[in-house]
Amino acid sequence: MDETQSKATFVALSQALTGIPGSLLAPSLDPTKILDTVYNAFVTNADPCAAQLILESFQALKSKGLSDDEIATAIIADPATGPLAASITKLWLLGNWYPPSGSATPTVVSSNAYIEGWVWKIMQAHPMGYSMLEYGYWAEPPPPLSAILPPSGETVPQSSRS
Amino acid sequence: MQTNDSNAAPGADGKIYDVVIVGAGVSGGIIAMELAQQAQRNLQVLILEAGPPIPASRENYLDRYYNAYYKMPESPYPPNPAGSDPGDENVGRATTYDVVFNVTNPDKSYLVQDLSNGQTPFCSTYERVGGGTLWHWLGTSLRLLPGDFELRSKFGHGRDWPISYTVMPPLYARAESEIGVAANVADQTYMAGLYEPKDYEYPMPGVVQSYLDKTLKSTLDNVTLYGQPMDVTPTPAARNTIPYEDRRVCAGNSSCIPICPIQAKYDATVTINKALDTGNVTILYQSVASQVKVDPVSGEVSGIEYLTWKDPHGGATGKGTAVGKFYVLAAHAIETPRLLLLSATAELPNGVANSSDQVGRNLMDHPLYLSWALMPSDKPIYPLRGPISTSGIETLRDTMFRKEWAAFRIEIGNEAWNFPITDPYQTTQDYIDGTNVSQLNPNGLKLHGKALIAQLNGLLIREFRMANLVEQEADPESRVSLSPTHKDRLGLPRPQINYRLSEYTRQGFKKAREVNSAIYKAVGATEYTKTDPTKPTYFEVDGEGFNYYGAGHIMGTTIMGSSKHDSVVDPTSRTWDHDNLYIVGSGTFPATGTGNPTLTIAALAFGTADTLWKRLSD
Repeated sequence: MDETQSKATFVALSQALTGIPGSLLAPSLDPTKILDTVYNAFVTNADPCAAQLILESFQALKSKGLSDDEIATAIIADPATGPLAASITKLWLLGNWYPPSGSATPTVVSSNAYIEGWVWKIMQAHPMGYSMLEYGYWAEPPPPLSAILPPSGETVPQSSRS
Repeated sequence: MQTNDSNAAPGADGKIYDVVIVGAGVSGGIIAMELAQQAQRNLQVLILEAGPPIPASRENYLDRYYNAYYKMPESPYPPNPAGSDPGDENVGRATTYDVVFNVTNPDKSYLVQDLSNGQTPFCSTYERVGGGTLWHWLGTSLRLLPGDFELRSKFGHGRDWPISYTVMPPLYARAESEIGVAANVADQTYMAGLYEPKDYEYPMPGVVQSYLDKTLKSTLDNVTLYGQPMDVTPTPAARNTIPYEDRRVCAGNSSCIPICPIQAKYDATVTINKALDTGNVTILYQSVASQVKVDPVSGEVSGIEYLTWKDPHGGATGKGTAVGKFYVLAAHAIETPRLLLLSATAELPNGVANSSDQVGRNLMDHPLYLSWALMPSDKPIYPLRGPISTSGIETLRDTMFRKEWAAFRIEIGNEAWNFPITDPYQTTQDYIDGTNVSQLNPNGLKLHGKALIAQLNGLLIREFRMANLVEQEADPESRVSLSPTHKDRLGLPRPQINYRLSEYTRQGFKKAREVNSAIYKAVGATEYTKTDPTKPTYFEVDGEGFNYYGAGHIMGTTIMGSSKHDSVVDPTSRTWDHDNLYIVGSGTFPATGTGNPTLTIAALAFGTADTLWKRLSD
């Protein structure tokens, strides 16, 4: 696998694990270069053999025609890939690298990884210390989750509904 | 202008200042600004600050916060609290990291905490950097209440203040103007007589209440506990609701603690910069006051010795003496008594200003009772949007029940379960790993994909917490002293802490739990408050177990009183023992009261500035 293939596979794997469309995880317009941030954290921190194994496992399962959900279930259940899969999901959601072994203290990958962490969007909030909103917005509920993350089957976020 | 009508020899820089201040925080800043702005006199003020300068931009501090795995009040500020060796730091300080990880290990904790004989840890912290601890404060700017000044005479507990509330309104008004408090007087109806004149207005309109506040308010409007309505009241806050003094309007970044990214929240750098703009104030950074020198004949302070440093771990690189006509110690309630005790000599074996033996004693906080709950699934409240807190319940602060149990206010938190369990981090990990540290994953589900997202969303948007700030009585056995065994990198003994909660405060915790649980029940929320008996903060009252947290409100240790025999400073904040030495900050509070201390600290600093101005004008 060359780097382009490896990155594309990483995005597809990440979509299966997180349930967030790859087009949102790694948008074609990517001003903060979040894919580079997250992918580099994965490559730098994961054991190289384990990293190769999880990407190859994904490709093998994908080539069998399994759905994202079936692939993620299989990868998480396999002791050889499950712990690293958990680290990848946490990396996208929280911006931290949690070593799969659980033995070392986790680290924040970077300011960018922290700010772009998906958990803030999942909870319809914003990163602590990074609000792009205006005074008083907190008095009313936020736009629905579907405005940020499309429901199953859709790939383009639908407009807000109240 | 060099003044020379003093008998003292000039200091290291050849000058005799009108006033020498120790500590570039809010108190020191206000006094420096007030004196230096008296243009007709051209008064010269020197500030000694132990820590590094105020940075030109807050970006570095903000970046340290983003990149800190443990996002704690001290995370943005040096030295890095995680893994710091307090014996190797020139300028260490108490940290939340120490409270969580090192509290039983004095080799790793800056504060050397004596936990023998049932004593428990002191859990509040501070900063030693230019601008001081207000870098990481929440911004809550409540006035104390009249009864807060009369704890002994009215309720039979602790000590009275030697001043009454009646002297406070004009000082509060000046403090509210300087720090920029947003509030509507009409909302602050829990106590009559707080505002004088009666048509007083805060400098800014009140902060808009959060969706959580409004949701709770709609249910609690009809709930009464201990005879008091559970009014959800907007909290006066030093948080801009309109542009104020060239600072921006709050954008609800939800990181007031530890840092406002846009300085919509006041911090002391605002006032210190105004003081510097006069051209009459000099700040020496990285200059650690190490000894207050007293003239044995006059009994007056003759100078303050300080150590300078360059490398934070490199020890002292030089020393000097700062000389003034008057001296003000404004280094907060742990470092100020430490300095007075460090200043012991053969003539003053108990330290400076300590003929009463009260220096370091009466250490207090608002021990904090933390509770947390989940709203019903059809009533999400969308936390981590807006300031960390926008409302509180203030009606139980000054009732006659204060005779029986320590009073408290309730702070409502718009920050999910970040304080109790670091959410959203913990619950997210639980549902990825199949664990249940959060208590929200009792079946140990290990989710992925859309099911993970749906589950996290469904839980996190319903989380909220309430924190009760419980008052504490002055207790001479709760104290700061000098560690006989542990020093910092400058060779100065670190603070040793002896601390305990009285039965009065413990009874307050019992009521705090009862009240909070009743509120959760009334709003239909499911409570998840958890007590950990293995933590050093565990205590019991009437067989019921509790943990407490620090509120960040360090008080006592140089208390104000009406007699030199049992207090350190007089009602003007002048030390009883030394006519030209003043102490400001919450160290002078003889009782904690039921409001967050900063506004009162700032108000009293204005009073002390007035006193100094008068004496300098004589």
